[in-house]
Amino acid sequence: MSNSSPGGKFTRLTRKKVTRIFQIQTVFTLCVALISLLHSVTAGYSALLGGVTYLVPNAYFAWRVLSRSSDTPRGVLADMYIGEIWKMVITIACFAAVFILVQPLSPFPLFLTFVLLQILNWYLQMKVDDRFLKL
Amino acid sequence: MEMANALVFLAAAVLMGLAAIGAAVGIGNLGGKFLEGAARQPELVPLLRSNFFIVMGLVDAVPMIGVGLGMYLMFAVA
Repeated sequence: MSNSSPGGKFTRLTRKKVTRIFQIQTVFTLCVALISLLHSVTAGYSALLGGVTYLVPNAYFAWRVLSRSSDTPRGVLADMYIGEIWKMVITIACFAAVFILVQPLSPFPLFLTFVLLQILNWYLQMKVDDRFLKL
Repeated sequence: MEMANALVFLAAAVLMGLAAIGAAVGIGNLGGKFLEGAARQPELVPLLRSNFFIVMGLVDAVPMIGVGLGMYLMFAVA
């Protein structure tokens, strides 16, 4: 049962892939923020906030799911669903905090960065995990 | 003006509600298939868990964007 422990082969591999994807997404966020900064300061920090709003809940979800020791299907499913609920709660809290606390805010760069990071996530997951490309 | 505000909140509610339905159906199906796979081949649970994690990220992307736009409508537009 060594594969089902938190340090199991598949979990370790997935953790490595996910860490790499987060690194690429962080660099991408900084690049978008810098490009937006050329337009205006507001656009720059709005883009950065969009990236943070994406990265924080996803990092929490990845940490929660990939660091647990559940090896039964029931435990794995519970971890996933509870992690997903918390991810949604954190996303909503982040968006609410940004819209209430940050003034002035430029919504276009914020959502552009958020949506681009989601698309980048799709692309990187497909690219990194070649099992999906064989389907 | 109040009617316009009410319509904005209604739009946000519909947006987030439909996003929640989509996410619930997608993640529910995913969980069901995971349990099916785990029941057939329990030794594959670690592999299925990794795939489950990856596909969950793909499924909940669009609902998350919907939630973000809904929050924008409620807090910034209304």
